[in-house]
Amino acid sequence: MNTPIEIPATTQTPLIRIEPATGKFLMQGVCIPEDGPGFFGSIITQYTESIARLNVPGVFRFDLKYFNSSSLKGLYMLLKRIDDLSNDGKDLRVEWVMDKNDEDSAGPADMLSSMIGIPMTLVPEA
Amino acid sequence: MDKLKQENVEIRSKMFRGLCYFLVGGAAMWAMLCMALGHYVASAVPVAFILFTAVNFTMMRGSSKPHRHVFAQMFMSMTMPMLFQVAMGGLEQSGIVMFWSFVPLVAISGYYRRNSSLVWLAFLIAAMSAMIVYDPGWSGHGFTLHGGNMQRTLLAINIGTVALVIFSAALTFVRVQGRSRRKMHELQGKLECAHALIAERNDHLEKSMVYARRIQQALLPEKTGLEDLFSERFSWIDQKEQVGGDSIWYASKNDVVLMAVVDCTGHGVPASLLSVMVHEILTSGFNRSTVTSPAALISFMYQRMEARLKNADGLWNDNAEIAVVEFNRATGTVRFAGTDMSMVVATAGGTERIQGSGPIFTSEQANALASRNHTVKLDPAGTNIYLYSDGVVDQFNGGMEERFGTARLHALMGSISHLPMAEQHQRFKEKLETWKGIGQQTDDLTLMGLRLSPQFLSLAAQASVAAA
Repeated sequence: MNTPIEIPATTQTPLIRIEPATGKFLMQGVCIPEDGPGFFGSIITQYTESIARLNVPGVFRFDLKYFNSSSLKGLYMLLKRIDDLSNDGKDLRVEWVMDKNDEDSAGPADMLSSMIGIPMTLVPEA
Repeated sequence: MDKLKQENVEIRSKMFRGLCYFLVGGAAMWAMLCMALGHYVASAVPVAFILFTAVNFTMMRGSSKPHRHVFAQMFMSMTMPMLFQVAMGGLEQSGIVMFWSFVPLVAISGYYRRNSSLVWLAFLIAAMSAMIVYDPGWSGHGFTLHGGNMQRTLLAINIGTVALVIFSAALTFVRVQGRSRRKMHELQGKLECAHALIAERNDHLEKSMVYARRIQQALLPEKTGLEDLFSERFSWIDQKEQVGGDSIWYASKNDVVLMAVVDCTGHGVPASLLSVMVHEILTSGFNRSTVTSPAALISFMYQRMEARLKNADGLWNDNAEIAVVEFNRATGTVRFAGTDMSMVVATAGGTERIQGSGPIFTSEQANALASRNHTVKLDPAGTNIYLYSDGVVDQFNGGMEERFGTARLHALMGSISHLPMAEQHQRFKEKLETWKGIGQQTDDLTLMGLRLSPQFLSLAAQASVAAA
């Protein structure tokens, strides 16, 4: 039940890695899926199921180089779900990796964070 | 399969020609050798073979029955070395020159069907055995099958066996090669079929997209009767694909003119469908007496979209980012409202960014937006207004390392806002094109520039003085 999940990145979708043992969730790369609702629908289901089984605090890392406006809405729904589950008593934390050369990159994080009311840690790009 | 047959014919004909050239070369060598050794009579055989080959080749060209000439050439190629051996004085004297008769076997294995080839093989073995048994120059004893002289029998057996082995090897090689070529051709045929199908579908799709593009362009509103508002303007829509989700909407009623840049989620066909729907909703909203401001119009748009798309995946999936500017000729005011889009106002004092309220994900957010109008401060000396979709700032450079970005765009706007609008349009296009380089277009993009007319600006100035 605690096997890690890894969905490799494509030219349109990011790498998804879920490690239930350590509580690490990673979304990394470009996110411009042709079928945004379909893609995020499945991600939200996978994240929700994995969170339900977590025995350790969960850390959600978003390291997205680029995402389109349809994905912004997907991210909103995903973060909303994380926030809901966090309010239900789960220990969940969100990290947002920002590109230090791109002044626009922290914008979506601030906006999503204030809209949903979920705290986010801005992490400079490694 | 016709191609395979044609290829087979080519290979056979190549093998046949190769055989002839090889044997003619051998014959020429032997003829010279004979003459050098003083065997003038014997040298007539290879010379005769060369002459025969030349005549046979000439006759074969243009013949309606070329296989007869092939048969004759094969037969002569097989028997001439034996004849030559006799003329040279036998096995020993000629150094078993009849070995050359093996050469045509290779060509025969490729040229004739299996049964015909076996007849040729049998003929060769029989003829060679006879040549050994009745060899005139054999030193020692006469022919006896048993007893004293077994050498002739053994040599006949050896040569017969070698002939069989050479023939089997050649035959197997030819058949295996033929089979693999047939398979390759089948595969190639299938691939060509699949390719043709894909090409046909692609062509069909492409044509249908070009048609859709024409329709989408025709749906863009004709912006007429705006000369009193704008002294100059440009609009640039560049969809990522033939059709897309970016568009400019416009409506006018009495003293009020509304212009909007709309970016529907996604790109391509799904986005273009949404775009048509959004235009229709905006126009119907604009004509309602209850919708009295840009923000109210956006709010109306979201409510309508939610209602219309309720059977789809909900509001958050399929909607649009929008920026709306309202120009009022009676009051001289300009009002702006937007979602996750900005407006840039460029004056002599610099550029000012007016941000929209952010993306809309829920009905509550859509309702709350209704009152968020920004009244735009104008500079009577000159004011430009720019609206753009995220496709402009999200455009990646050729190496996919960096986006064009808001700061770069706004700086560019500030630096060229004094230029004529047509020239600005050109500069924006060039800058973005250079930035994109060899890379792909990231998203649909729209950029609109409006230069307010002195007439409208003076009206605005008077109105603000009166209000003060």
